[in-house]
Amino acid sequence: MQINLRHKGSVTILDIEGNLVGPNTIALKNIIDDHIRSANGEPVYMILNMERVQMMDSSGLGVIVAAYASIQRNKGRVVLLNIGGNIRSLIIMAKLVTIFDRYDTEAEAIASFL
Amino acid sequence: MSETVYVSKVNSSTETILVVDDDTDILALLEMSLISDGFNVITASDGMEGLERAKTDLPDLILLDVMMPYMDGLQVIEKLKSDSDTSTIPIMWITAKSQTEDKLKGLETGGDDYITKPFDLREVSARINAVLGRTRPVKYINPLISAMGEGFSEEGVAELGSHLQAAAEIQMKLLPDKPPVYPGFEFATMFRSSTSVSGDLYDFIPLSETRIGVVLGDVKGHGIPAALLMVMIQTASRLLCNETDSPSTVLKRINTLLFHNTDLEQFATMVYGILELDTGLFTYANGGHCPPIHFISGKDKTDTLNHNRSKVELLETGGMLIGAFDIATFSSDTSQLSPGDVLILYTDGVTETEGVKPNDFYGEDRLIECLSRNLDQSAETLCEVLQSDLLDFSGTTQLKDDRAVVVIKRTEVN
Repeated sequence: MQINLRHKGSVTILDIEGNLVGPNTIALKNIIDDHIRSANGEPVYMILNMERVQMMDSSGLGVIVAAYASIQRNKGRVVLLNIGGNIRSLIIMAKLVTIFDRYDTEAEAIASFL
Repeated sequence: MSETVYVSKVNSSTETILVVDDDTDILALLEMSLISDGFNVITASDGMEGLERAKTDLPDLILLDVMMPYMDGLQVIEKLKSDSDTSTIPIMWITAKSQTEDKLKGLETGGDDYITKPFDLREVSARINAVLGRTRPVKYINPLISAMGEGFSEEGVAELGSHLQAAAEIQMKLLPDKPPVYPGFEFATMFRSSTSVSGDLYDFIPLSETRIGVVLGDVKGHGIPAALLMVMIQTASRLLCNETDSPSTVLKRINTLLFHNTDLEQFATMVYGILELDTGLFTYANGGHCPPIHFISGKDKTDTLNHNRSKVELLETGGMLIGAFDIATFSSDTSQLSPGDVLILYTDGVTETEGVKPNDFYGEDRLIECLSRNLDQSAETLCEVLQSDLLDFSGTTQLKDDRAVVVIKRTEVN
């Protein structure tokens, strides 16, 4: 799995590539945790770009749920970009559509923070 | 909008390989090749540094050169094997083709395999995977060994093993030992765990003469942490499911309990329903779980050929997964089981069963098709049919995920 971390203005974009399954998800969790920690309590604005993620399981869901909760605690926000098939249905099944805003283009996702 | 400020690339495979060699070209070559195979790679250019990195990073496998300055490979391996933190890390020697004697000596001194210079990179990758395949199970025991610290001993590990066995037995005892028996209904269950303890659960809770509570859930993850949470939910649901509270109220309470008592990432998905035994009405709430499927038999006596074309209803109403959000709200809904109807509650270990082809999963469609064809069978037979279809599909009895299934059939009235 590979994760690219980019910044556009105050928005952090994580481009995730690979499957968010089982122990694979620890890396994403560590990167998100480090990022939140380095923000020192300032709000974090984050886009998780899932365009290159084909599969996600409950561990993957756990990581993004935890990210949502810790980012929200400091009045930040995390949104999902380009979620497809399996991931979309998992999020719908877990009834998390009301929690995560989803976007199909990076521009829309970034605009949502403005 | 500002330009990209920086890009960092993090390789995050689950397995880390330490390469120790004083030849920097070889280090670079192996590093590049292993990274492209998806491993995390750490390098060290002499024995002393290699030993340090092994102790601090606890890699999953070490590629070790024999001849090195300061401390040679044989000394390194001796030190690694005498330290309980590192003694189980598999080691592969890097040797030159001519060093056949080294090969033999290497295996005798505790190396698990060897690769020879010049490398055939594909062969290196295959051999590494073969060694990791053999040693992976040991990795899961390592945390236990470290947790035991000085108390580590063969007997200690055996004792932990027996405790784990006991935990699995306690857990199995928490599950109903046999499905309930009520006139007018058939109940059947299937339960299989991918490890000795399970994160899946189901339960039947008698609420009154004419009402029975049905619980089925799936705790995130596997193994001991999932099993502990499973026990917590099973106990909570027995205490909280009662005759007066609606399924949505019960899920809300379990959600609050889990939210305040577990980590953010710990959650479960579950369905709780109340079945009215005199009318067949099933009132339920679904907390982020894969929807139970209600097969409406709709058998038309004038058109028996069409009985396979049963309609299905997915029981989706409820709310979010359980335990992650304090704000979660739940609602209940009903589904009417008529004579001949079948209701299946299951965990995603069923639909996520992987087929013989990679990335091919059993899925909800195949589940519906499999059961639709057999609706005239008993609940117990339906479970057996499903189990054998899953076996046909996956070609293996090895499970990657826990599996729990509850089948309820309302029998025909005579």
